[in-house]
Amino acid sequence: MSIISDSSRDRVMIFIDLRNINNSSKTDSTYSRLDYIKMVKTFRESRILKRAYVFDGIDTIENSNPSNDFHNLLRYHGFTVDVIDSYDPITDRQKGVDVNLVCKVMRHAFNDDFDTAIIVSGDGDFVPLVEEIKQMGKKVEVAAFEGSCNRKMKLAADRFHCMDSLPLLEMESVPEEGIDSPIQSMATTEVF
Amino acid sequence: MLLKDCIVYAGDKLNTFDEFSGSGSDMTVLKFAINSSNNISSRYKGKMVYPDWNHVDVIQPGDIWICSMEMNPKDGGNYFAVPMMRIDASFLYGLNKSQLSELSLDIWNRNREILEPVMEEIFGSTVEEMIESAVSERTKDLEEENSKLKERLESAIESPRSDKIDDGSEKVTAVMSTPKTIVIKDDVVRIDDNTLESGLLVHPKYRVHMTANHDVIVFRPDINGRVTCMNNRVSLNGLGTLIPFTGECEFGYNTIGDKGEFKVFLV
Repeated sequence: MSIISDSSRDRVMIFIDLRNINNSSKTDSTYSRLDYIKMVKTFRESRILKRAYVFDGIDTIENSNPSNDFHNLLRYHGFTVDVIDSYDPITDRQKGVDVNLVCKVMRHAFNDDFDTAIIVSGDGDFVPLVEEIKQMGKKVEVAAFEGSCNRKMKLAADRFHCMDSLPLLEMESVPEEGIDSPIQSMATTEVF
Repeated sequence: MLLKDCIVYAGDKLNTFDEFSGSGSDMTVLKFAINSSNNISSRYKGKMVYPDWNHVDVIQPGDIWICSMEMNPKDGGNYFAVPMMRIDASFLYGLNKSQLSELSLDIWNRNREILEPVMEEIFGSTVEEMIESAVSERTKDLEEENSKLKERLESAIESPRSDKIDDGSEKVTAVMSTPKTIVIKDDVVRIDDNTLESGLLVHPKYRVHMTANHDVIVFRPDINGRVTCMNNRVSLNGLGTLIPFTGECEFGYNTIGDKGEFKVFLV
């Protein structure tokens, strides 16, 4: 329990490192899928949500990117999806997504757009960012799965949301015989 | 059976119907016999039919074949038949279910007057017996169910309602003054690998969320939910994989608010 007081008038911004959270999710994606809307609602609580960012990278070398549909779905539900072409053909990895997230958090902090930043990532690279935001008089919360969250990150944050114990994985009925219907998308009609 | 049907069946069996029908020659079913000249022959459109010289199958007198017909190119006085497929018992046994169904329906329609009295004689009593046994079985089941429900209702009436609420082990929702009301337990029971049953599951659709550590499931009524509820039961895809089923068991629960949302504790 944090000694930092929260107010329902607090302005909250959520910054989700999509790849980090998806990779660290323990769930078997055949049966359930992380419900991002529910996640945002849970973290927001009764506070004012100013914006929910989703950061991801794409590979523009590939002709078809399966992430595009998911990004569009998130946009439809009100998320601000920030995607950069970050594919590095030499290392065969994505780079620059973290830096993009840091830039956005810092910019909004300087502009005094939020009272509380919620960073949904367990990546230890964000520890300096958390410290910096706190020094600017802002509150910082971190949300991640327990097993994949950097210990320093948990300690640095004003509050840590352990995603393992939150009901965020949406399930579906057993598909009818002969119909193969694993959860393919975040199907929801809710808006926040 | 129509000739067209025969050819279709043969085509299905051989997967060559397209080839047959695309050849431009006539297709027909012929029965062969020995003519006065001691040759195998048949008749088609009033003309003699002789087996094609190049055919490899041996045609016996009395055989029925699906044949491709070609008119004698010299004078058109007779036909040559290229045997495609012999219609015999093996042909009939090789038919698939839908083909057999169509075939039997066709036979029934054509010979209904003859077959109907025979079938009635054979199966009439059997059908009656089957109906009778099914009815008695169902009646027995319903009587058993009825007696169980009566027992549960009586026990619920006998014990004070406040006790039920206080002990928290078994909550019962029933209208106490109307004995006809069926008693439904609110406890959440896991029936098999993927199925949960509870008196709380009363809405047609639910949005269901589980924790990543598989400790808790939250059910929230939502018309756009991905989980369908029928007869107070839901089947959750993959539940058996995420949490292995070790036998029928009850789970604790908490209701949230007054809109039918509730939380089930799996551990």
